[in-house]
Amino acid sequence: MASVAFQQVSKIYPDGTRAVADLNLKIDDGQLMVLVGPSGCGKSTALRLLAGLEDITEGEILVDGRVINETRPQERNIAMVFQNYALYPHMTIRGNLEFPLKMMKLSKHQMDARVREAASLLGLTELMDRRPRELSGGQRQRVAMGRAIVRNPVVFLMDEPLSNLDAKLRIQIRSDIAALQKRMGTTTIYVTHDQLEAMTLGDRVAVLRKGKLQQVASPQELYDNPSNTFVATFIGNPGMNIFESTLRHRADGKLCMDFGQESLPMDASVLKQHKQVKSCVDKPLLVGFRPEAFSLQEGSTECSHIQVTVTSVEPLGHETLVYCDIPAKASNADRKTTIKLVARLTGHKAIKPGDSLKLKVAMRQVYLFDENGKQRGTPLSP
Amino acid sequence: MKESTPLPFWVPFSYTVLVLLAVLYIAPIIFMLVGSLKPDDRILVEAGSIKAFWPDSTSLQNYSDVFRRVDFGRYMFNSLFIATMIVAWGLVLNSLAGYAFARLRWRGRDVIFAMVVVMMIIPLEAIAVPLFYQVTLLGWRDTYIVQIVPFIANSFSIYLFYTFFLGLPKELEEAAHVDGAGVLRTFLVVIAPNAKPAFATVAVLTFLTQWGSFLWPLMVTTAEAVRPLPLGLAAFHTLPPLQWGDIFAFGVMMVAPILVLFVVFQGWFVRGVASTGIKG
Repeated sequence: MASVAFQQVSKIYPDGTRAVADLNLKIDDGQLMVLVGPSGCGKSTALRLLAGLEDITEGEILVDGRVINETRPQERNIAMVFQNYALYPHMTIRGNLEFPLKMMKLSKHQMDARVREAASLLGLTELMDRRPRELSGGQRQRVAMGRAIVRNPVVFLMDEPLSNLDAKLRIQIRSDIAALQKRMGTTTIYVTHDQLEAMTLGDRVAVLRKGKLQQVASPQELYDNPSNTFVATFIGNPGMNIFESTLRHRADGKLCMDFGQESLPMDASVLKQHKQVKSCVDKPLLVGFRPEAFSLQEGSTECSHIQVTVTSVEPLGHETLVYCDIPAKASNADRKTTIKLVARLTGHKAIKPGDSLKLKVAMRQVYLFDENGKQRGTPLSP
Repeated sequence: MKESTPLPFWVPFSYTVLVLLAVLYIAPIIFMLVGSLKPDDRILVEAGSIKAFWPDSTSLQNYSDVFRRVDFGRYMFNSLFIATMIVAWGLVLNSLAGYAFARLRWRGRDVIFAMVVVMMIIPLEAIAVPLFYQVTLLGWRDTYIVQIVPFIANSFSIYLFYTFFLGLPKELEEAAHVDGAGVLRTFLVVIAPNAKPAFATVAVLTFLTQWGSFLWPLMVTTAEAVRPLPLGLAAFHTLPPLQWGDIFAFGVMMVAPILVLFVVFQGWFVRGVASTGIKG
């Protein structure tokens, strides 16, 4: 087990592509860190740099305080589970599990003991004499895990290990991986593009975009306090709704937020919460609402609400996702005809596309971002 | 009842052409085999009729004549030894070279690989004279070495291995590196066992080429002790009296090993041809 640190690490390919840019990331001993981001964000490259499969262009990677930039992959004592498992097709499962131990020049007795232990831990005992092509996807995945754990490495690397499995199996193996990691306590870096996997697995989650680290925090912190609009829209399913807006003083002196054709008043509690709000008045601003910040307006109360037109509905049983359009302000008509949002409504709702709805907006749950997408204020705790 | 779809008009036509081609290819071999079992005086008499392909009186006399008149065993040993050495060393060196071109990153790789590709289109005849001069300077004439060493490194074999290795998943090597294997061990333990079809293809093609090699041995050898079968056959042909039955028997014994080789490796060979993209 070991701690891992990326210090100002960059990877620039010969064609000039900057796959990883000035990455600073610290992973504590025994922690499960998830690197998450869309395709091409540099998460797999970061993993490959740590494994030694790619050369580092700039910066340093430290394992337990020791710089490993020049250490060959076979000398790093780091195990990796590949996306397509990369099992050796000509070897039996036993051969696959024994391979890293043979490279360590362990005695036959030690090898047998370790292979037996790993096989029993992962339920592979019955499959030992089969070849990889005779196994199902889930079984292959377990063999790949077994090949990684059998060596007792200081760090586990997992590069989208569940992406070739069906949804049901993915959920099961996800929890198996989490349990195994807790049990073994080995520092683990897990790469995925699936934010759900990231949120459910990681002790901490690092969000990357175009090679740059956007934010690193616990899953809940990422959800509650995203540092920018990218993290806000990437984390959460569906992600946060982000709108262009302006804050302005109405004729009666009250501060309000333009929201499509609507103008929503900001009450005292919101103003208290966002201390910087006043400096944002009459300036371009991005505002964000999680889908759960909307609810159906029932009756005619005076609270903030918006008028929307439903475009599609996803009934999920315990909740209903409603995709809607808000008519844009007349001055914006040439730029964007409508603003789109998604609302998460609890329970089953008899709503159909084309319906016109009044949605109540929980103004206390508003996020404010500057025009560059950087967060200016988080909502009050619900 | 559903009517069966009539065959397109070109199907019977193409089968007819294929059968004719097969007959065309196999006829000389049958003629040789049948002729090798006939008395010498019958061969030329029946050559113009269908009887040329039918042994009505068979005898192995021609085969025993071959062994009586020349040291066939010596020629056979020479051919087997030379071809086997070239195949064995060629598999080792050319596969390693193909791997280095396909997978390793090193300075000048692309330039050298371009040179290897260019070498494929230069026939032996074009470089035979300077090569002859070179081996003469080295004092290699009339040896096995002179018939083996120049043919171990083979650009076509390197290219075949190169294309095959390119098609293997890169993750296999990366997994082996992460698991603790160096480059050579990765090649020997992970890559080579998964490249059996490529090895079989290169082995068969190299063996076939070397088995029929004539010009180079003729240039660099004079002693019968080191000459291969094709030169033996040529010498036998000029040895009076001219016995066609004996020549046919010699030919049959010369062709037999490569037919056996092909039949044994046929499965791998076909897979290798398919996976390396060789076209006839």
